Amino acid sequence: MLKNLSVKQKIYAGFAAVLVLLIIMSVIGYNVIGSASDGFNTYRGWAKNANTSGRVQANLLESRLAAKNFFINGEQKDVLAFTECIDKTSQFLDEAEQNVDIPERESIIKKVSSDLDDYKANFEKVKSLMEERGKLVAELDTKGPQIERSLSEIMRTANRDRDLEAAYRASSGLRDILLARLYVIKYLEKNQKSDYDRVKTEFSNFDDELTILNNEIQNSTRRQLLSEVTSLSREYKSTFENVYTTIMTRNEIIENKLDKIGPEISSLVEEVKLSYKNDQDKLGPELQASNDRGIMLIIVFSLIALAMGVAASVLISRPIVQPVNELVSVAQAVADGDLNQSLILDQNDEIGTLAETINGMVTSLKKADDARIENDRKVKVVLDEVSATAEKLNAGNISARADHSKAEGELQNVLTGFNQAISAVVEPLKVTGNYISRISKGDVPEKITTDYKGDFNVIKMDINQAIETIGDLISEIKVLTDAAERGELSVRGKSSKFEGDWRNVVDGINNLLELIIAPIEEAQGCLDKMSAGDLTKQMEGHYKGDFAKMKDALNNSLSSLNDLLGEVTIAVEQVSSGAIQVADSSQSISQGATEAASSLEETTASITEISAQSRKNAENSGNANTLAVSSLKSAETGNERMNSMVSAMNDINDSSNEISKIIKVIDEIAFQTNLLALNAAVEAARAGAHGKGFAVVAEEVRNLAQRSAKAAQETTDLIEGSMEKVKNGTKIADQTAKALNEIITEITKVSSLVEEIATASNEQVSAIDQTSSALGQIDQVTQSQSASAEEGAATAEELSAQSVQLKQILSKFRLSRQINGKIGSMLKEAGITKVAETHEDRKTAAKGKNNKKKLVEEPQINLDDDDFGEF
Amino acid sequence: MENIEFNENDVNFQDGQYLTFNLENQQYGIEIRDVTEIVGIQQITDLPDLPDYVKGVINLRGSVIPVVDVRLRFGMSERSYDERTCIMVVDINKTSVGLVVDTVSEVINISNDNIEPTPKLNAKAARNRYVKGLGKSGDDVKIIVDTQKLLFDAELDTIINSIASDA
Repeated sequence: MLKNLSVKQKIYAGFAAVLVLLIIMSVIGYNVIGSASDGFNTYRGWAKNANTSGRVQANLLESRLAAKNFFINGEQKDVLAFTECIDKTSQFLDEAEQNVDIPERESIIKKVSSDLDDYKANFEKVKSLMEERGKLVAELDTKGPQIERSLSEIMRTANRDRDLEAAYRASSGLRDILLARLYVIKYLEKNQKSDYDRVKTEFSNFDDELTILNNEIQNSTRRQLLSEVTSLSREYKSTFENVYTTIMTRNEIIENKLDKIGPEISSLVEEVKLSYKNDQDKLGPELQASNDRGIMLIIVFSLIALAMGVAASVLISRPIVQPVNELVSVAQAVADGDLNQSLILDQNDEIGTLAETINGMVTSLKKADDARIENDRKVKVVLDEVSATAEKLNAGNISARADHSKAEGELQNVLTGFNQAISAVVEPLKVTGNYISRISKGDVPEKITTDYKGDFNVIKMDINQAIETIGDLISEIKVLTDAAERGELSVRGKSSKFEGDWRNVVDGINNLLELIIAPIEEAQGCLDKMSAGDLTKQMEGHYKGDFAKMKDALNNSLSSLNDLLGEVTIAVEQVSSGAIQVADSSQSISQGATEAASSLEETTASITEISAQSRKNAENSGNANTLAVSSLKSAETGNERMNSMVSAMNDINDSSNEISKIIKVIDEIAFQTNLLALNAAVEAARAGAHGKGFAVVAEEVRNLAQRSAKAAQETTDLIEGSMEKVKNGTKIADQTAKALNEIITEITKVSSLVEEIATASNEQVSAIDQTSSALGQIDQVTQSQSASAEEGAATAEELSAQSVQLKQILSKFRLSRQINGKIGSMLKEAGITKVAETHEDRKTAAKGKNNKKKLVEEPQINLDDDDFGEF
Repeated sequence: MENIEFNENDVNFQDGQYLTFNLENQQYGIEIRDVTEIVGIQQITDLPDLPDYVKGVINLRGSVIPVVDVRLRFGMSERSYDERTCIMVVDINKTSVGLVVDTVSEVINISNDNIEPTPKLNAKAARNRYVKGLGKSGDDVKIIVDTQKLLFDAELDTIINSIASDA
């Protein structure tokens, strides 16, 4: 059924159901809350009434309390309090009467109201009775004392008049009246019947006493007083009776009325309160139950509404959402290119229609796509064939053609056209390729005779032209090479026969020949001059490449030769001047050596003297060392002796100590002896006359003891003195030993110093010996030096002569001007000219000085610039 | 010998004879009848809870007797004992007590004529209570000590008795 509803209808139906449930819930809620509210109002009214009853009860109690207080104390303030409280009670009672709801309670409240009025009236009665009692008591209080005073007066006067009987009776009466009054007061206090009876008894006693007094008393004054007393007592009695009646009435009212009505009212009010409370107790749980029922209903309906809402939403949304999701996935698949999708929905609503539409759309798209795929396949076959053929052609296979049978329909024509176009290009290319191949291999073919059309014919003619030109060029070059083989470099090619680059080729060959010939000719000239000894000519033409290198090499070798010969010349000059200097130096060395030899002889003599002195020094220091050692030994011996002396002194000291110990013992013995003597003296004294002799002996012994003690003391002093001296001696010996030790140390030092001196002197001697032998060697060296110098001089002369010879050989070469200048300046710098000038004087002087030297005759070399010019 | 003058007729020979001893630089004398014997210083066994002047007890041939330092008893400064220090053993009323003194000198005779009473100086000199008199002997003056008072002070009495009873 749902399937046949439209989406719109489903949504409306769902919401309508939910709304209906909501309305039902609202109605239920309203009803529940309304009934709860009514119940609560009723409950509140009852609570208020119960409260009012409570207040009535409270005020009533308070008024009763005030009434009690009044009965006990009779004070006016209690009356006021009673009135106030009772008024309040009436007020609250009126209130309760107004609020009453059921007739039962109304009747009770009315009863309470009448009782309350009754209570009030009775209270008023009691109040008036209390007032009356107060007045009567005041009367009693005035009469009582009057009776007492009068009786006292009677007693006093009777006693004064010595009427003892009267006085006694009066005093007895006084006692009775006082007792009566006491019990009156007691009765007023307690309201006891016994007290009332006692008052009666006392009064009868009193009356008896009064009767006796009346008989006894004669005195007029007293009689008058007695009659006063009698009348007063009568009045007192009647007043007391009244008081009694009043009090009885009052008590009866209180007892029978007030104390009954009060509790009755209280219990009635309590009854009303309780009835209210019972009603409340009934109504409360009822309301509670009805509220719970209402809440339960609301919860149940809420749950139903919730369930219905959920069910409706599921029922409505499911048929919409599920197909839409399916549709979305179909559309997604179609968008991704899958056209095999379709969706069958069994729905008659808007969604069903949408699904059918989408299915139609997918079918149309699928048809169009199939057609396109077929077309693409056919075109691809053709394109593949073309592409394969082109690939083969590119690879160099020019015979490759497309297979037109593979194509279908009109596309076959496309492949046929393609094949024809390839063939038209390939045929002439094949011929041209063949010719060029042959030319490159050196086989110049015959001209092409085949006819071609258009651009292909132009190509044919060009090839023929090329074949002709190459043939001519080859024959021309052959002529030139043949001439070159024969050494005829003057033959030249005919360039006029050719055009363009071919002409340039022939001209190039001609120029090449020219360029080769020119430098060879110039080099030939230079070499001719060089062989004649002229080194001044150089190659001067401008050449390039290898020819320039050849020119530079020739020129360099020329200048190298020039430099070499120039330097050789300078060297020869330097050698000749050096030889002269060597000769000079050798001569002066020879002379110096002779002088050195004589000096050496003097030195040797001096050193021999020094050597002798040093030896003596060494000997002396050795002696000093021996002496030092012997004195060291002496000092050590002295030290040993000193030590033994110190030990001897210590022995003396020890002995002295021993002696002093012994003396101490002696002293001790003397002391003990003294004590014995004293004891003896004491004994003697105690023995009296018989001890006399003993006392004498004791005294003697004591004297002896004292003497030995004294001797011991003196010896001790002497020993102490000698010990002191030994101590001093030891001290001095220690100092001496110390001094001797110092001497030993010093002597040791001196000894080592002397030893060092001796060693040094011995070393000196040997050093001097070495020096003199060295001097002998120097002498020998000097002698041999002198001979060597002479030999050197001779060698120098020989060298000089050889250098002149070398100069003569060198003079054959003609050097470049530049080199000549250079040699001149160099020679000037070296001062060779000057040397040459002074050479002669020096030579003669040397000859005069030393006859031992042999000088070789040396030819003079003139090296002035002018001489160079002759070469 | 010249110090001792013997009187043949005097039956009570002991009267007028004194044993002299030294404390510090002063000479003192006690009556010879009180003296039992004189011994050198010996080991003194200290006893607890005694006045400082009672130094302890000594064993004298088997009998234990208390020892009093006379210097301390006289309130003088204490002096360490040496080999010259002596103990005078005195016997009064059958009680033996040792008196430690610096040295013991001799036994001399002083007649009663030569003994003068103690000068009545101000009462603060407490040691006067032990002094019997001042004995003249030649140029010297010896202080005669009342051994009875020295020993039988109430306080000392009990101590000595207690030691004696213990012994």
